[in-house]
Amino acid sequence: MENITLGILTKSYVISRGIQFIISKNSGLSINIIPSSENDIDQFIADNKINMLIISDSLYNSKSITKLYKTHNDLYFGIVRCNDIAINSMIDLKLDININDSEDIINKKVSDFINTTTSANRLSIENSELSKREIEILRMVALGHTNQVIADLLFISKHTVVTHRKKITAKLGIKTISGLTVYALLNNIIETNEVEKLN
Amino acid sequence: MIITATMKMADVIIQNHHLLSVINRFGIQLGFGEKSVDSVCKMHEINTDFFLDMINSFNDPDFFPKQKFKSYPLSLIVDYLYKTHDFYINVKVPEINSLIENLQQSSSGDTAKAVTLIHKFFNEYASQLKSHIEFEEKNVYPYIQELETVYNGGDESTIKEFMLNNEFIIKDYATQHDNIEEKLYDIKNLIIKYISPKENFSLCFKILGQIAHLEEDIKDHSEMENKIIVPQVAIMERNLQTRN
Repeated sequence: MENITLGILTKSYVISRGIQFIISKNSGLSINIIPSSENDIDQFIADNKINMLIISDSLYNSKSITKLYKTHNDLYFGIVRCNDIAINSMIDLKLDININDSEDIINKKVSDFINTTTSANRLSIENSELSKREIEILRMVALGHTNQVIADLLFISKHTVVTHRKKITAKLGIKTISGLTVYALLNNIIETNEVEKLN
Repeated sequence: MIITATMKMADVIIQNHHLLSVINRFGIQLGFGEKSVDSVCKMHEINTDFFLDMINSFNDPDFFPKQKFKSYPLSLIVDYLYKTHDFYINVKVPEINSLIENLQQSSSGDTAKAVTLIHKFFNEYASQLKSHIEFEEKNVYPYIQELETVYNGGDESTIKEFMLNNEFIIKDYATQHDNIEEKLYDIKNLIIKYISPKENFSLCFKILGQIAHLEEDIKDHSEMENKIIVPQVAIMERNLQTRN
């Protein structure tokens, strides 16, 4: 499952807790929400591995928001508007909330936001059958092969192996090799004696 | 809800009985009558502020006063972490292990096969947790305690000697927890998805509940290490280096 780590930049406790509450209520995904009281935003983003940033215009003016956007253009951006300031149209706001929005409107905006930012992820969750190739790779992982060995055996790049493994983990919700091995054994993808031979 | 010094200790436990394991680590036993949190802490010579911050961060996942935690002596936090280790190894892990054993004994067919695999996986997890804990207790914690002592009162020669004898850089250790936590997550996931005991569902629920409890506790534990201890120690290390 793709993790979204959301940083909220605001001095307002009401806003940060409110956003936190609304987003967790609307998503079944693991969203980590980190309110920031820190002065060093760049450090804050790096330390917490943040990939989504929600800012409030009570703390930033339109110029500083543009600057922030330019430095961190790899992040999703969202805003909570308290004052009606104009935002540079180049900024791709994934979430645009007004402090006076009603419950229905906010819920709609937040669930739309969650659907778009995680749509690829959603698809894979709904279609969680492993493909033939994925089963093949899972089998090799469970047997203890490294990514490099798997790549060599299947004549694909190591990068492709990693991509397959990410998909397998997203579909099954299992992260560790031991966990994948147990899964493979339970589903007869490998046999007990194959694993024992290895040990 | 934020727990405060004037609340009755009994009410604290009544509203969340999971906190029992936390107060136990502070050496507090049941039977506190109508006493307040503050007076129970004083009786046991516990720093009430520290106790409150600790118990609140367990009680409410969003409560984590980073700056305040940073103001406590590291030795206070490390001492607490030692006690949580003891709780994992001597209480929680054996408890879960014996529940899984019970399930194993009372299952048959495919379920038995699945439970056996999970039991093996859990044992693997437990021994990894154990060796991680041993590593921390042998290397990391004593280092931190010594560092703090030297930092606060060491003369120049002690500092020099300390730095010569210790090349340990705290950052190396910060990320080691991830894998251990992931294993526990996987075990939970596998039980939920692939174990379908017909007669033993209540035992299964119990196992899941216990695993979730351990998971939460370990999460708080590593948060304490990664967000408080590691950055604090890194600052001390840097300062010592520049002092010299």
